[in-house]
Amino acid sequence: MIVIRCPHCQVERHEDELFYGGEALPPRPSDPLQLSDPEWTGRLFFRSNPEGAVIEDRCCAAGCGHWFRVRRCTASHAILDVAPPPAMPVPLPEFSS
Amino acid sequence: MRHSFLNLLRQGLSGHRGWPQAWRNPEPRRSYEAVIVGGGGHGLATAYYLAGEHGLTDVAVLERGWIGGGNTGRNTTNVRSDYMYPESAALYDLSLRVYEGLGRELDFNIMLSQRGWLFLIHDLHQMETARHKANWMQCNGIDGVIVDSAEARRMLPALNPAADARYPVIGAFPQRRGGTIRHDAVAWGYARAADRLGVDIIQNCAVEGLVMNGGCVTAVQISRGTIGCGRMGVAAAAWTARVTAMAGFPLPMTSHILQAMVTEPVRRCLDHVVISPATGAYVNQTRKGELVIGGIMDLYQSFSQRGTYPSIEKVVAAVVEMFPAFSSLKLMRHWAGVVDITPDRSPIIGPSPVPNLHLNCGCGTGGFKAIPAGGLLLAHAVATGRQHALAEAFGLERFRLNALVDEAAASGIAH
Ligand SMILES: Cc1cc2nc3c(=O)[nH]c(=O)nc-3n(C[C@H](O)[C@H](O)[C@H](O)COP(=O)(O)OP(=O)(O)OC[C@H]3O[C@@H](n4cnc5c(N)ncnc54)[C@H](O)[C@@H]3O)c2cc1C
Ligand SMILES: [Zn+2]
Repeated sequence: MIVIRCPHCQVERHEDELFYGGEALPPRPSDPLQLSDPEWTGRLFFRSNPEGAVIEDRCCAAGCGHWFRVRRCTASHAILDVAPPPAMPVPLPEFSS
Repeated sequence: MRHSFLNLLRQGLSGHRGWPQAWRNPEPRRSYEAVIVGGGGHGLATAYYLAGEHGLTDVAVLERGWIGGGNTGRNTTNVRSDYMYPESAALYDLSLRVYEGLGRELDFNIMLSQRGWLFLIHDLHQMETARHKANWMQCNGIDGVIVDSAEARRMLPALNPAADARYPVIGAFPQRRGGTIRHDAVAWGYARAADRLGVDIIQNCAVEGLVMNGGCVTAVQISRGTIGCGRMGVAAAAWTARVTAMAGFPLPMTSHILQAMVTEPVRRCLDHVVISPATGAYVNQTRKGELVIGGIMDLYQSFSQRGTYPSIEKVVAAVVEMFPAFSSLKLMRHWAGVVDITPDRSPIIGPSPVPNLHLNCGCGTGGFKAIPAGGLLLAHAVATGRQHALAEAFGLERFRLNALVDEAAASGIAH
């Protein structure tokens, strides 16, 4: 079972108490028309999905309700790092077709 | 040796000691015209159809572990074709039709049991959705009707009888041609038949790298060296994206664990396969009497191939809600597989940015039922270099074109 201490309220929560928000993405572009088709395709549909450390968004749903970022190993489920979003930036996903 | 009645009788009387090896265990040759990566059902079926339908017998299947050791040997064996969109219905019904004759074709008993696949309807919204799907299916020419709650209860006597059940059953949506198949038998049957046609099945042989030349793949690296290849088909489920990364391009898939479990065997008490998307579980009884239970997929990314307690708890609670008597059974085994999930829950089949590399992956939680079709369509792409008409909607380019085949909305649960 995945147990994470929320970096906002400092309470330990297990996976069912933490809403999963998917693999982390860079902030939405302030001007959507600035992104090309391939960039949108990458943003919408492609994720890095590593067999190893991934950065994901989780929400302290049963607690303080704040979002934070988790670096977790997808092979062992070990929690490697926890921080509020700006502290763990991520790149835009790559795309192919 | 054929699996004929006479041979079965003879072998049965002599302790089954005279059966020949079902497939060879060859050393890899220096090169093959076609290399298939992944010895699951899809990869083995691809090799069989390459040899049988296209006459291409200079083929190797490279499997990292043992054949059928991936999701082909980990699934809950449900087959059906009640998909909503015409493109999906055509694909999955082709698969079911091939499955209906596959035992005879491969001379291998795949234990197809078309016992009926039943989708429980618990409220008016689900009834609306089921009617909508039933209409689509009628247009697609595929069987499927809605039955009322009395008929559902007649079919499932063990169903929760309480008038105040938390999830009352107001009807069900059976596909009578749906049911189960012995999963290992599909892998073994295709393997034996492909081997007889000259295909080399090489186990314990992981693809660790690709040699590219002029934008094409020309050889694969394995721990024992390299194997040349004229073309390649990749059917490595969740690990397909690892292989395509070696060729320099990503795939729109994420990997998640899907779990299943089996109870101790009991006498016959459940005739059909039953799924309740609302409670999040599905169950059927094997011929040995065990109940095979599956359910929700874990949402976060994982390659762990290990179960998680929160999901076991949810799935068991859902089954007991449906069938209260099952609460007295003990679980005997439990396991997990890593499923390959695409944004629209439909597979990715056909060409890739690398001209001689073709794909068949992304079947996710429901690709056991798709094995014959996946094999036929990937074999077509590898043999001809072109997309089969039935696979046109399932190409990788659909994501850039935003032309999704959104079966996520149509099915909504793993099975
Ligand atoms: C618990 C569970 C229940 C399911 N229930 C159902 C169901 O009821 N009905 C249904 O239709 N579907 C179901 N599915 C889904 C179904 O099992 C899969 O979609 C299907 O088996 C996929 O077949 P495949 O041949 O593509 O993949 P797999 O059988 O996973 O085969 C891929 C193979 O590729 C090999 N491989 C990976 N990387 C490499 C490499 N680098 N080199 C060489 N080989 C490699 C792996 O070892 C593996 O054997 C279920 C899945 C799970 C996990
Ligand atoms: Zn919190």
